[in-house]
Parts: sequence; structure tokens; C-alpha cells
Amino acid sequence: MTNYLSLSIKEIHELLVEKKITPLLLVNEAIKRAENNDCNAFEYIDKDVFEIAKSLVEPEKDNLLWGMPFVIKDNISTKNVLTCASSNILDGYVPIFNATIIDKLIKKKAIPIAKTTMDELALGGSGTTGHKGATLNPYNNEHIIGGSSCGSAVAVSANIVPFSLGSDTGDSIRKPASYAGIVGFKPTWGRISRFGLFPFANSLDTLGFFTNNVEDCFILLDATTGYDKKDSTSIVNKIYENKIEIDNCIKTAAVNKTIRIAVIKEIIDSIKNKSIVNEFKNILEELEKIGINVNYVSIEKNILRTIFPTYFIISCAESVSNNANLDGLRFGKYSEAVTYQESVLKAREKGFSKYIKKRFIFGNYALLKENQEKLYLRAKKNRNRIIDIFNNIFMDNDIVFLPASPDIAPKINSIFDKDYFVSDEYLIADNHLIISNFTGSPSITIPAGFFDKMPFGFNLTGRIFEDKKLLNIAKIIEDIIKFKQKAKKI
Amino acid sequence: MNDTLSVDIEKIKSIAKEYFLDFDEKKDGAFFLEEFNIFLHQLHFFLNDKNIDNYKPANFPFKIFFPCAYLRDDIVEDIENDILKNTKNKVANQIKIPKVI
Repeated sequence: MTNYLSLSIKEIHELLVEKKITPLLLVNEAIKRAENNDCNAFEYIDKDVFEIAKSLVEPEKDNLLWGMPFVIKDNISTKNVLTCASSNILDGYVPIFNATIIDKLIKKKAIPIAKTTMDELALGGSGTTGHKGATLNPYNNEHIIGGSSCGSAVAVSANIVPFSLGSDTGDSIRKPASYAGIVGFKPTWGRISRFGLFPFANSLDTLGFFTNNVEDCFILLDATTGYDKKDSTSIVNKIYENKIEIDNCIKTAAVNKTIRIAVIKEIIDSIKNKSIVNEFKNILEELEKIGINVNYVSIEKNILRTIFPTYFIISCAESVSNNANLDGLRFGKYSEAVTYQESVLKAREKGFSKYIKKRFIFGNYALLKENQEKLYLRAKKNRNRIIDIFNNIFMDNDIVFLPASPDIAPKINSIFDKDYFVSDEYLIADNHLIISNFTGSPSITIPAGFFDKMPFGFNLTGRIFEDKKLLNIAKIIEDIIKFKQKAKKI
Repeated sequence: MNDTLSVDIEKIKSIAKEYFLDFDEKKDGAFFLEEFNIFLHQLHFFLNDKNIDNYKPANFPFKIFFPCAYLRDDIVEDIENDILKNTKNKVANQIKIPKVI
């Protein structure tokens, strides 16, 4: 059978409109693949959707998402469908409402077929801390796929669905996309309503997508953005949007001279895998050949080394507040005890893994009266400094372009010694994607190449609200990289 | 490194208890202590960079304006049946909860 689910949204739509395939055929195949998938990518597969698929008979020519199957990260509320954010504390929880993003996609007649595994409550970056265990990389099951949106990354990488939903607080879409050889897009903070997303760190959380190609991100952006009064930080942004559409994509060398790409030297210098660096530099040369300006910019390494601890303090502190209601009384499984304090203690002791407890303890530590000034408030000041630095880079550049990760996906049983976690490779090269969570900038990872038969990606970040300009430039780079041809050789 | 930021297992347990968290010290104590110490080492450049003090704290990624960042009024809807679906313990049209006082 033709692998329809590996096609782009537009290609699948054309086949649906020509009635060469039906939504029922797509949903049947997607669910079959989901059930047979050996990567531990799914929390729940919804077989009730067959009836929905059967009811879609007359294709809507102008609706590119009509009949399109997709999957949803399990921290996004889905009415009447189990949603537990891969955490035992929410075992059996069924939301009574849809997240706004789900309502918008259902209104477009896209068909949600499953909820995907994730790092517990999104507080993780390896894809190994969910209550069902590690989610594996479809390229090689001995490797992780990253997190926290691990299951959603698998679903697109393994051609189960053409697109999936994820959330990105500190690279949780863009890093797994690099490890999975797919596109991972985080729009400008506030453009997609977060109503219905289980909050991790509100000032950083952004909903986004995994797709097989950049063009699909345009379609999904149009379908899901917009002011929502149910989300108090939903942004009204009509005045900011760049109106260039993909059909008017910048192609000529003369016009390309208006695109200015910044590359941060110190981040490149922190990457030890020279194959990735060399491939990145090859692409820069190709970009210069077509007239795009490439500018090397500098940020002091000591400042870059503060990104990860700043993120960790802010995100853990915000998560402590956001998850205080998971107590077995308001939410979560009740635990019998004599006093309510013991009941809450028991519920949370059983409901959370040690990895989550660690983050909550760090968050609480940063919020202690004696530490607030030197940790929490200081982290917010440093965030402002990093925002300032990046805004200065964007005065003279349209895009920041960098390798998304310093290496391919690590093996599941990799052991890193303590020195690694204070190295530049970890603090700078492995965590620079966090910057666009600080700034709220749109950011996209596109697949770039292979090393040891495992994929890696490159990342582009743009100015706030210039999401479509970012996607336009990403499309140019995607066309130069020709990843699908490289993938066929592997 | 600033000594006031060092921790021992007793301190970690007391912070955890404030947030209604507990853990088996024999099983996971070493894990928490090691992770905490790695974190405190990672703070080195963050704690020693005096330039950070020249900035105001950022609460959001960028400045946001009305109608953003406001508290809306509740929208009243009849969702009694939906709410009751989520509990195993109900009496008539009410959720039965354990006595916690």
C-alpha cells in the first residue's frame, strides 16, 4: 500500500479531494501503525474515531486539514479522552473540555486518533521519564528521541500521522525534532492559545507542531493561531504579522541579499561533533552562494553558561506553583489517611516519580525566602539580559541559525559523568534552544543530515511575530539541504 | 561557590516536606543529593556575574498590552453531567469527597 501517511498535508489533501483515498482509509492505517509501533509512543489510542472518519464523505476543497489524522501530546486537554501527562498522579483523569487548539483542529475536521507519551508533566528533556518508561527512537531503538514531546515526535518520524501536537517550554519540540529527523516548530509565545494545556512554566510554555516539512507548518499556524479570551496571555497580534505567503517565497539572489542570518560563534565552538559543524558550515556556504548574508556574532561564553541554570530556576519555580493542585484531593488519586496532610503527602509520594520530585524540590529551594533574591529574582533579571542581547542581534539580522543539538540522540543507557553537566557542550551547545523560550521568539528545527545513521537538525529563530518570515527562510534552507534524498541513502 | 547554597540530605528532605513531597532516603537519597550538587555547580557563572544586577526582572518574554494579561469573568455553563462523569463517588447530583477537616 502507498505510504500516504508519509506525504505532506497538501499532498494528502489532493488525494482526498480527488477521492483516491478517504479519511477512513487514513485513520485505519494510522491506528494500525500506532498499535503496532514498538517505540512506546502512545498513552491512549482512540478507536471511537472510526465513526468520525466514516462520517466525512464530501471533501472540503478549501480545507487542507479535512480528514487529516493527527496525535496529541498528553498534556493537552481532550474532552472525554484520558489525559494524564504521562504521570501516575493523573491516572484515570478525563478532562471535561477540549483545549482551544483541539477545538480549532476539530472544527477543521482533522481527526485526533491518539494521545502520546511524554516526559512526566513535561518536566524533562529525554523522553524517558514518563510513567510508562522510555520512548524510543524509530531510527534506532537503542537511542532516545528526546523530550518532553517524545511520543508526538515518534508519531511523525515513524509516518504514523502527517502532523502531531507538542509543547515547548525549553526545547521540548525542537530538540526531539532534531533527534527524530523531522520538522519541529514553536511559534511566537502567545500566538496559539494555551487554554487547556497543563501548565509547566507559563512564561515559557508554547504549543507547537511536528511535521514532515516546513510548508505544513504554515497550514497549521493559520489553523490554530488567534486571540482567545480564555487564555489571559493570548496575544492580539494583527499589527505585527509579516504578510509574505509561501507562494511569494523569496527566491532570487537579488532579493535574497535582504535576508541576514546570524550565527553565534561561541555556540558553534562548543560543539564537539565536527561532522555536524562541517555540515552546518556547508549549508552556510550554499546560503552565501544564493546571496544570503551570513554574519558571525559573538556572545560571551560566561553569559551563555548562565542560560541553563536561569531556565532551570524559572521553570522549576513556576512548575511548583502550577502543580500544587495535584494533591489527591483537587486533582489526582485520593490516598486514604488519618489527616489531610498525610493524605496529600501519600498521594504525591506515590503519584510523582523521583525526577519530578527533584524539579519540584529545586523550584521550592529557589523560592525559599533566603534564596529568592539570589536565585529566583536573579534568574528573571538574567532572562531580561539575554532577551536584550538577542534583541540587539535582531537589530541587524533576520534569523539566528544554529545546529539544534551538539550531537545525535544519545543511547538510552548513556552514562554521563558529573563533569559533563558543567561542560560547555552541555551548558551551551545542548541548551541554547532555551533562548527562544526566554524571548518568546518563533523557532523551528528542520532535519539536516545523518551521522552514524542517526538524524540531526538545524534550528532557526526569528523575531517575535515574524513567524511566517521565519518559515519562508526555513523553506529556502530545507530546499538546499534536501534531507529526504539523504534519508533515502540511509 | 557560595556556602549558603550548599545542601545536605536533611535540608533536601525539609524542602520536600514543605511541598508535601516525600521520598525513601535509603533508595533515592543519594540521587537527590547528587542532582542537587550538580545543579549548585551549574550555578557558578550565574551567581558570580555582577552584570546581571543591572537588569530588571522579566516576568514575560516581551511587553504585553490589554486585552492580554487580564482576569476575565467566569462564563456560566451547565456542565453538571460532565463534572459528575469524572468521579466514582457520587450521591444524587453531588460529588462525595473524603472528610478532610
